[in-house]
Amino acid sequence: MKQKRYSWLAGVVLSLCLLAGCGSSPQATQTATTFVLGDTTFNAENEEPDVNPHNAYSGWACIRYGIGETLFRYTDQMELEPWLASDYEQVDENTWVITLRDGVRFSSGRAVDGQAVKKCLEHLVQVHDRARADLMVRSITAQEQTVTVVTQAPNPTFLQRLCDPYACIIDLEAGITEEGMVVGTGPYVATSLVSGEELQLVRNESYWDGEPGYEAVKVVTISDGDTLTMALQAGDIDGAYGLPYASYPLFDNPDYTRSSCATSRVFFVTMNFESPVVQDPAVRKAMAMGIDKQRFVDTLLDGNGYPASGPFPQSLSFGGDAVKAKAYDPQAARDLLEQAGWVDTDGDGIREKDGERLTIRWLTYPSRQELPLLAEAAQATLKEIGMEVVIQSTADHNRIRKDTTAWDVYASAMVTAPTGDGEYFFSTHCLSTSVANNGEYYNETLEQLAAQMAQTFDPEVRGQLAVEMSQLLLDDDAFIFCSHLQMSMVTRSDVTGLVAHPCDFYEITVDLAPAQGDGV
Amino acid sequence: MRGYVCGRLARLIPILLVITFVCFGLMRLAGSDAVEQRMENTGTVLAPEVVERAKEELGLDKPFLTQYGVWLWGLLHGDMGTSYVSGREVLPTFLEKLPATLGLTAVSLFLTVLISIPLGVVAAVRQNRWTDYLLRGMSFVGNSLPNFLVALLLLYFFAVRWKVFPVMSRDAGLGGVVLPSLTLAIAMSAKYLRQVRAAVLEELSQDYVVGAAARGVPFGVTLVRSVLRGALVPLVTLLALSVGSLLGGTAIVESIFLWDGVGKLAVDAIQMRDYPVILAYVMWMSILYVVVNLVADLCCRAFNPRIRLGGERP
Amino acid sequence: MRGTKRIDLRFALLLGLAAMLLAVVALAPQLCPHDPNAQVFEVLQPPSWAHWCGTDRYGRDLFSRVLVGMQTSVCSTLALVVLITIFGTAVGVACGYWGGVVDGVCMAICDVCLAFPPLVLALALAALFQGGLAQAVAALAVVSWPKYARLTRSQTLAVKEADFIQAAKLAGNTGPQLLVRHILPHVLGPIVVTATLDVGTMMMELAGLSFLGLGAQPPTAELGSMMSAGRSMLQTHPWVIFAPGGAMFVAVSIFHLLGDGVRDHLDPRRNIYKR
Repeated sequence: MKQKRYSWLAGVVLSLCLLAGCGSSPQATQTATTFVLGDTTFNAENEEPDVNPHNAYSGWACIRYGIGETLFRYTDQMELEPWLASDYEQVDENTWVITLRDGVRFSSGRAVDGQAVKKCLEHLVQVHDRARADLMVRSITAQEQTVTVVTQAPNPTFLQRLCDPYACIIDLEAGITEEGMVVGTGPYVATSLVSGEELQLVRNESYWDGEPGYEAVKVVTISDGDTLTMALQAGDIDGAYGLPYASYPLFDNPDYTRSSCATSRVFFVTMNFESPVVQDPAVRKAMAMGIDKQRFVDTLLDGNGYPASGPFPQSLSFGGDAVKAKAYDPQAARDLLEQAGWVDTDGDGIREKDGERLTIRWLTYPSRQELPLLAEAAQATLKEIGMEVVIQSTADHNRIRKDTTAWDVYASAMVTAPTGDGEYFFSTHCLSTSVANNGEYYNETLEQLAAQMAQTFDPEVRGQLAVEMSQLLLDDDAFIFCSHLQMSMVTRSDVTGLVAHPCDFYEITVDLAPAQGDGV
Repeated sequence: MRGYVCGRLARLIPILLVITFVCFGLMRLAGSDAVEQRMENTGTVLAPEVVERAKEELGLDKPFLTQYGVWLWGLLHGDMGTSYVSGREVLPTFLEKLPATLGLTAVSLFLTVLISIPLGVVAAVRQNRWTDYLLRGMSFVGNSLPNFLVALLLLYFFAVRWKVFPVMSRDAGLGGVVLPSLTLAIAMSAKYLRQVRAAVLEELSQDYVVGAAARGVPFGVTLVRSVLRGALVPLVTLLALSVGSLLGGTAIVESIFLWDGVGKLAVDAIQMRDYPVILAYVMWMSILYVVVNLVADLCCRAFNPRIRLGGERP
Repeated sequence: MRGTKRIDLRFALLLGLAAMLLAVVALAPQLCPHDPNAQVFEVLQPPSWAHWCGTDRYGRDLFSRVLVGMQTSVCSTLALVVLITIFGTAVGVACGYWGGVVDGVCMAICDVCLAFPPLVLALALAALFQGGLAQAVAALAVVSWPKYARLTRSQTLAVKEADFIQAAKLAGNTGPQLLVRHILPHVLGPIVVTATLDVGTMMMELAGLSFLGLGAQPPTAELGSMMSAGRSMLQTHPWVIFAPGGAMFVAVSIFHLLGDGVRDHLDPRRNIYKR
């Protein structure tokens, strides 16, 4: 009888083994000339449902995966350089003449001439709200290899806007497929696309700028960071974008290559000027001195970033240490609060003034993994200076932040200079007319400087203005800029040429190739 | 009989109405919407006109009742609306992804039965002996590990360490279904094993078992012929309940294993406040709940004709 | 009879274990070797004599956090289970006893609650009332009470027509008296068993909500959110996830064993084949 009982067990084990046996061995070894990239954000949730640059933020996918190219692009120093264009001339405040590079063809075979570019840009401003507002196009005229664009008003950042992925030049005669595939000029050509799942590309045999290194490329959307990690470890993919920080140590060995670059995405704290406690300048200043940015970067981001001073990253001439932020100095913060009348009278470690506890309601959201970490880190260091932080980390922050009585500070993550220019951040976050001026911040001088910037064309002067304005924000302690995000891509070491770029636009380029002497 | 089935199905309609209405109201009250959510994900700010226009296009600027009315009217015409996020029609998208979830559930259910019934019977027969404690201990482990942890551990060992299965289940054919379904089956079996054990114990304490023993019927015979049959009714009922939670609980597993089913669709939609997709999911879950319960009741009756169905008179 | 004694002994042992767990939970803040929220140690140290469970990525002592986290998890779970047991039983007995319109309406509500995907409801509720542990408990309560109502209702229906109830009626007992004195004691057994068994399950469900960021808010330690926070460190720093996981296992096991024990205790019929 005993035997019979164990036969049950044996049966189970057997059937499990059988099931396991059914599993075919993984197709880990792709042919050497196909490159598989795993990406976390290539889906409709991140406004990248397809690769059509004229749709939402899909231009990012179009340019990242090597399908489309823009007229101008950024160098590694975030300076402009011609790409599909060869030259430009600004005739007057509103008129730009762009000369196109000779000999560039779409992957459909059609030549990239003035007419094609005109059609593409006209369609763009017709269907794409953001592009229409950015470019302010009045009219476009095409000659042989030149395009003349007249803007409705002086547009100092016109050329930068043309670097935005939405301005990828695509062949509209070839059309846009139902799945959202387009024909561009890039090193790879899209052949099939399942939104939110995968994109197949093949080499563009007639590419104008050299021979692309792989015969085919496959981009797989893997929104789960841990799955992405293991897919790279197992060899299911050759490269990964968007790995969780904690995974990087796994790839710090000769089998993998990692390319990192600071982006203009910054984690920052917005002060609510409607909140009585935050209105006290001593409280704001003490907070600015009471958050240990370096420790946040070192321990919580595992060194994947660097402490921020102002809104803009080091890669920009007017960013990084061009402005001066208050250093972490808990003792000075304590003294400051003490002088301002915030004293711990009841000995519980939290200061009071006129019977009111020094409590800061910290609003943030969990969809950016770094933000709850920042909140908890700040909570601990601010407690050291006698400030109590109550964290509310909720997906519902968009509604709450509109109610200025519901929070004291708001921590969020924003791309501050998507076009490599400073104006965007100020006009969206810091002025009385700004959409995202969540804390109702107002500074007369800043408003004037912003108005001046809108009329300035000289990049040098614009940069100086951006520095001056950033410094104003810091002097007022209106924002605390905590850290810049460092973006990393990891590839197997038998792949070369997948390099992170400060503007985060360029991933798969003509340089991507199998490493010499490996594979093949 | 037929009347009974029809009656049960008819009860679906008010349930669906109430549920979709409540769901609509809750999501609406919960603040934020698809337009704002997309803005957050891209980390950029849009001009207010652009936001307004986007909301207008989706009809989000309309009063709540109007929105619900529009949706209901569409539903009556077999139109479940278009997704706010992907812009695709909800019904075809949903139906396209349904087979994946159903398949995953079916395999998981099969594995669950395969694992938990034999083990549960063994545990009951060997009640309070070391086999019983070992099996129960294992079920506690299964019960106290969150799904995502089981999934990651399986992935790590089977895909990264031993390379038996692929990490990405999507294009892996038959081999791909093993890890995701095993993940679900482990959690499910841990619960079900205990229920099997309890049901068999209950049955073992019946008088007929004593009688059979007194008559010298071998225990094995009693077990298979009577005890298991007797335990079948509660087991099927419980299994039916687990089908519901299986089908509803696939989301995390789907997203870890890149298994494109409705669970992942639903979780993404909830995060994005994509109302039409959420409503489709809620409807699907409600229908499922009612149908599965109905089937379970019918099965129980088939196994044990003494059970009367609600509508029938003795 | 010797067997029964052994069962009693085992049951006493289980009760002792459960009492110990509750004592640990109650005294957690006193038992902590370090302040669970102080970010003062070197981050991500592996377990050692100084830090029995190592430290987390903020540099906090994990053992202290596990203790306090256990308190949060167990207390909120017990609150949840007590809440749904009382509410569900009350509704179930009332429906079963009086029937009619009340019964119809209540069961319809049950249907709606049961058929509602818990995730959607929990998310919406948590967003409505802002995230937090109490809100997560409320959200789970809404989706879980119908099970108890259903169970009690069917028990009540079964008992209602029994001879002893009829006898009690004839003896002049009125509605409420009858309910409390005669029906309730009879349906309570299975309810208590279900509730004890549910503690473990509910603990996991609550942890699941914390995983979605709907449960405890920082810096409150809670086992579920601790596990999910350590998620991507499974390969690099496994103790971050296994320390709260182990605590969860111990707590869930004790409650499950207790549930089984309670059932065995309340149901004295024995399996005669058991040697």
